[in-house]
Amino acid sequence: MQQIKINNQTREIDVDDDTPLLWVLRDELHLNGTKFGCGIGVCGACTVLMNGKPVRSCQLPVSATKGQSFVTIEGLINNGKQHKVQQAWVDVDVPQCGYCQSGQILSAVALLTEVKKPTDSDIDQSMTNICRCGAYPEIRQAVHLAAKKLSSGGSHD
Amino acid sequence: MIKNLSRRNFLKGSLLAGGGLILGFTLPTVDKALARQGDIDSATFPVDAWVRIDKQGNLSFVIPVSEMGQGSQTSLAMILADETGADYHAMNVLQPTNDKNYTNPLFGIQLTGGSTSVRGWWQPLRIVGATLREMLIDVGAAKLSVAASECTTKDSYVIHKPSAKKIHFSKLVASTVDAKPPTQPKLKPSSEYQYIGKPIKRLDTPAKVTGEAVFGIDVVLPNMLIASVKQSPVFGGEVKSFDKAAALKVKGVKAVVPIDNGIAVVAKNYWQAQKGLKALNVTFIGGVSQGHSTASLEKDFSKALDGKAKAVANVGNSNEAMKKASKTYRMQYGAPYLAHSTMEPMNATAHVTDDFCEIWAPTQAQTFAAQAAMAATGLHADQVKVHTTYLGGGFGRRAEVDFVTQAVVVSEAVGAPVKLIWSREEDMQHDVYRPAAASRFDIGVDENGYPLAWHNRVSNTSIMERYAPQWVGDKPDGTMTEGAAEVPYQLPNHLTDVVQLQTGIPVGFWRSVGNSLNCFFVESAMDELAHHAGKDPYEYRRNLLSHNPRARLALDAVAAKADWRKTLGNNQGKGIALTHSFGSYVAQVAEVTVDKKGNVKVDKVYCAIDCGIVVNPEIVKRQMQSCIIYGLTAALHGKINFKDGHVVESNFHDYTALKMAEVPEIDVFIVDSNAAPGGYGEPGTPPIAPAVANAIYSASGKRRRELPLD
Repeated sequence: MQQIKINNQTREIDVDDDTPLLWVLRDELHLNGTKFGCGIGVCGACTVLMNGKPVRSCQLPVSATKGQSFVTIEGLINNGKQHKVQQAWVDVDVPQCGYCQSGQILSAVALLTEVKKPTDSDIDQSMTNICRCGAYPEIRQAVHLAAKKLSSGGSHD
Repeated sequence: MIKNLSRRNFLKGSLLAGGGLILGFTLPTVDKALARQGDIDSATFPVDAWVRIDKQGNLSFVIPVSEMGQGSQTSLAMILADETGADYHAMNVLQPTNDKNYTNPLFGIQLTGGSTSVRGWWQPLRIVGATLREMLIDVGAAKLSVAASECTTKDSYVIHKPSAKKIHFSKLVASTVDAKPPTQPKLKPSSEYQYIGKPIKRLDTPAKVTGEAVFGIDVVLPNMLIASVKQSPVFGGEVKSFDKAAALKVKGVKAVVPIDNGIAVVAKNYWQAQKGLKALNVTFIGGVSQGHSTASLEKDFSKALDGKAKAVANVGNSNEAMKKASKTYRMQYGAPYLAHSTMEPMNATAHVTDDFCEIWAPTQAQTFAAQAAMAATGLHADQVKVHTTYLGGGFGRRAEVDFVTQAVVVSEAVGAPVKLIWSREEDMQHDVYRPAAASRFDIGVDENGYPLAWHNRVSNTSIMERYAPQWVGDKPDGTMTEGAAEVPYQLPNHLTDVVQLQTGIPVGFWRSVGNSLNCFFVESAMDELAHHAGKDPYEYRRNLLSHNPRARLALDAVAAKADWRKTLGNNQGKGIALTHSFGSYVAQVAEVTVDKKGNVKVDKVYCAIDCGIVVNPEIVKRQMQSCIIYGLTAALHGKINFKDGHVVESNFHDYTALKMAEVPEIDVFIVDSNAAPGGYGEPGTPPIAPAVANAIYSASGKRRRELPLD
């Protein structure tokens, strides 16, 4: 039995030590917003935040999660309110199939924590998640909009 | 808002969460042929199959297509809301089960594909909406004690126009159940549309930004087990040996189940199933694709062009005209196999009991999914239920049901609900690939350089001989030559013929299918001819389109938007290309930079589309963008290689997809049109590869006759 801190809750899990966090989230905790895409850390569909930084959860064995704090897409909602990045995604109506969007949104949250007003080049370098529908122009637009929303302070107003 | 899938929703059948009622009337079965021709006199649909209304008056619709990103769920909901007078923003939509009422009017089976959702359902769904509206008005007018002829509907109210008295749909439900449906519902004139034609936001967005949207891979059933598979790397191969005991020793592994082309390991979770597969140490033998390599295949396709061909288009007399030509040219092109690589790997969930099989699948093909389950279990049609989840991309891959069969077989074997998930490696190496092909042109031109004789020979493999042979008959499978047999241009003597190969490599529908190949071939050849003639590639095409005003208008539109005659910088070039496919006309201009080493960067893409009447312009624009980016990934990087009969590429590290940094600026323009709706999920893909290849020529003087271009 191991403890893991996810979305401000401590959860008890009983899995093999080498189980990637992705499959703990999905198969054990049924936090299914985090998606399986490639299993080799390339596509970004499984992106979650570890202490605020984006990580590919398919590459992180559960044994390496001790003492760390994670946020998944489910944890972005605060008091029933969407994060401003999610609000921007809704305003721009970004998703097509939507499968990669949890990872995209969390990557954007991490980027905007580091860089308050990212340039297109900042976005190109940070947002390396694959979207096979090619919703990239809308993702870029939504990141800029989210930056604007966040500039007024607060993440969820 | 969209109702999320849940076990409860599936099981409660006809009742909605709010305790509402299904409208309890049934209409005569539609005459689909008439519906297709736009004659509504005898074309009515059984409305109760998909229209539901709850006590609050909120309408729920079963949208009869799979939502895989293309926005059809939203577009069809807009049509229904508009024609009914319902409040679109308060609408619930439900996803289809396998049910003959949701038969695609253009295919005759339940299948989402071929860019048919809006063009197939445009007329039938307006009839459904109009029927419902007239019934609600009849009942509402009686309750308000006014004349029905003076009433209308809007925002889910029946409104008496002279007095402005109104009554909400919710107060009419009970009586509507007993109302008699009209025999000839009157469709709204377009001037009264509230939603159609407007860039309304998608219904599925809220659930897709919170992680709540349920894709196939997210289905959870009580006592469900997880399975994963290892399939023969050589297609058609069989299992030779495996260590079952070793797999069963892995913690959490419950069973080892043989499947058609490999083995499934069933465990408590996916990771244990993967560990079980590794411990299984399975080996394979044989297979129909044995011995093939990329080089041998390319040679086969090229050599086949000298073989015996069957004509699929024969206008005038190409051979005779060739003798009269001022000049003749021969060009040969090739294109590789491609994988779909949908973001969501293949998966399905099944629960097979003694007398029932229930399936939850991200599927484009409910009819075939049900048939696959029947074949695997021996159950009858009324003992199989297929639930459709959201699809994490489709692009044609999910028109297949191999993964459904596997889930059914494994669930039956272990006697429990099973979610079967492929690894990305299995997904990439057991796709049904976009066929590779070769194409040769023998063209004779007149004294002005325009085609007098046009002979295009294609060597390709058939999708339909495996997928649906009954759709082909004894003629060559049209998917091999679509985009070559019919071209938008005036060609007085036009022969297209095809040589069909057998390779043992499974091929399937890949966004725009044969057009993705033949548009590259034809539009590259057209470009070469223009340059040979010393003419501008846009003007040259335009001069061959005097008989085809819609195609010419699309070409003119993109040339105007791209400011075709502007001068670009050093090492830059522009290319133009056109397609008429899926009932629509799409023209594109690509601007590229080619550096000294030959590296290609696509700087900008302009796209004009005429897809007839537009339901949601924003969705059309984004589908064009999506088609272009999907097509650019393939045009620049896409190639599935073979070695010893198996696929070489295994994941996104060696079969890449365009990322943000590589995506050019894309401008899409919709050409005004009152023509019947055309498709827009696919026709944006074919022109991008030739537009880029033609731009590379203009930038560098190098003609690229083989894809990919990187």
